[in-house]
Amino acid sequence: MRNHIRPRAYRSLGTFLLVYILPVCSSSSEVPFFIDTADLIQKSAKEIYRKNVDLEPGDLVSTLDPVWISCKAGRQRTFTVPSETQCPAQQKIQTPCIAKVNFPIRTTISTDVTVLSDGQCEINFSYDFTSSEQWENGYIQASLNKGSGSGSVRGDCAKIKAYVEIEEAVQIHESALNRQISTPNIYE
Amino acid sequence: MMIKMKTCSVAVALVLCQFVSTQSVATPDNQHSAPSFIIDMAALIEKGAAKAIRDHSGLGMDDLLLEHGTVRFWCSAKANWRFVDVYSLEVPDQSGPSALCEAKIQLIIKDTLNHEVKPAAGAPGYCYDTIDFESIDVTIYGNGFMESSRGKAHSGGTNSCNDQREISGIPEAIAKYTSKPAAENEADTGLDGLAP
Repeated sequence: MRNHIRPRAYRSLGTFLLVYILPVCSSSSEVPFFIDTADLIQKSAKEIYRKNVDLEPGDLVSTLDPVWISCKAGRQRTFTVPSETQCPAQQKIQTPCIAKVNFPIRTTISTDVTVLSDGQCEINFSYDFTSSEQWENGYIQASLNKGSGSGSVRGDCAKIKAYVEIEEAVQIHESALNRQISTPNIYE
Repeated sequence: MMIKMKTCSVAVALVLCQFVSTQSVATPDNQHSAPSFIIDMAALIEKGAAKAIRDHSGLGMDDLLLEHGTVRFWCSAKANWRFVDVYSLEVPDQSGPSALCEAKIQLIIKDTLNHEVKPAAGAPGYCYDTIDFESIDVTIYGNGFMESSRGKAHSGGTNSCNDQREISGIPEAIAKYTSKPAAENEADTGLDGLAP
């Protein structure tokens, strides 16, 4: 079935999941997970900007791999169900798996570039970030808090970057997923 | 007029409700958004254990254990090429499959597990919990490719003595994801720890 999926032929992940992935997941012979990191990055950034009124467009950037997934049986989250006629009710949902996305705040990034003996460069960087998490029902909760992170990249001095723009991160992850989908698993 | 009055009373009700609702819970503005991921943990654990048994003779389902919450996911836009085969040193075809995400399952070989829990020195109520074991490490790539290897592992940490690690057999580990949890499970409003 994978061969029938044309790269970039979908962008509505909901449709894609329902049409292709859910039936696949219910089959014991197929892949038991599907993670669209491009969709996660895009939706999470949108939600963080929406919730954080202090953030201006362009304040956030992305590391190359900003998504972190964890699963724990029995995990619950609480959310509020609105009502036009009653007080909002608090509801618990089961979401054993959650997907967190961290976005560095541009103005907090500090970098230290070292030229290595082989002519390549290493960038060590640190930053403050804001984050969000998506639950299994698609709900994204943006955090108003900040954390701090650090990392390093090594490679061609003219090419490597400590971070990319969010739109670039979305494109990079979209390409990686398309590459995965369009390459048959010849080792199976 | 009726509509106006109704709107007004709804507005008043909402304002009143603001005072009684807590600020720490999520509002559902985007709750109908389609999820960007889907993970069938029960199937993942089952496939991982089946792969371990298939690849490593002498092991059966009853010989394997899994620590609760230790299945790891890793997503990288760089291609996760197949590793070089450590026995044949064969370099895989680099134009072969690459996967955006992979899941790693570390299965504990039951007979090799050494689990010790000791009271932490100078910290009443806290325990130092260590495990040593031999493992079968299974990686399931996003494109369906799986591989496994045998290894050794050790982990230790200090936690509340009431909150120790949970290790169970494979059927029990799967059941944790397929059975409904007890209603009295602790609620969680999310984003409890920012850093991964």
